Amino acid sequence: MDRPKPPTGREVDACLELLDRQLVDSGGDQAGKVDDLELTELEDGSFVVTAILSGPGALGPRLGGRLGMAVAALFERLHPDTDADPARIPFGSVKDLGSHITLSRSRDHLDVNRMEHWVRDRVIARIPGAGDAPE
Amino acid sequence: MRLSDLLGAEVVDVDGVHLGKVRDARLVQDGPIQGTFGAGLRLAGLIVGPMALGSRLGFRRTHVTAPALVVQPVRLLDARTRYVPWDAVVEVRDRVVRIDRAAAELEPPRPPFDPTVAP
Repeated sequence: MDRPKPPTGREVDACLELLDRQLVDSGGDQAGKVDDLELTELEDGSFVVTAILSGPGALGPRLGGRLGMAVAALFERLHPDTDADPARIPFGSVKDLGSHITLSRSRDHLDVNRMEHWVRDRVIARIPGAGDAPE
Repeated sequence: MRLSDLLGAEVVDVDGVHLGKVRDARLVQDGPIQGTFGAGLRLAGLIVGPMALGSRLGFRRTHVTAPALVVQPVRLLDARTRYVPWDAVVEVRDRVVRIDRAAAELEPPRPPFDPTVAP
């Protein structure tokens, strides 16, 4: 098991180097984008990034306006729960920050493929012959 | 709190002067250990101003050499951009960030430190 990396003092401008970056999972597959960040307050009053929020549930409120409302409405339509939170990826699952964000987990264990699953179940599965398609 | 709660929020100094909006948030990797990432990203401060073109285009990074024809206009447009340390923030409410110091005490944002890039 890798030892925890020590503090580097590296500084990151969130909008420039995190937001809208591609997430890549441990298998090299795309796993959504960084649409917002969750900040948690510590006992000393400082805030740290504790999670990446991804998908329309995070993007809609960030965009605001009519477009943001439309994106948020799409998210609510696709989500099985009535009171749904956006897909949340704990920041401890991040392996590296670069031109893309590398994760240490497979996207199968992340809640980021909701749209893909909805299209698969509601659209693709209803096309005649779709059941014969190879995996 | 979400980052989007801060981005675009109006910043008001101790004298009630509006400094512009939050254009970016600077994070520093010295927080508690978080899994495979190591030391977590702590919110260190806010980049505030009417515009923040230089930050948004990445020209504030030390290893980026911008063309002179681009960097001069960007500097002019970013002349009023300021860095607000997070410990200066008194309150964040209703899309307004109130700080405990005057605009004159704030400095322009310096390039973010990157230990992997030689100075």
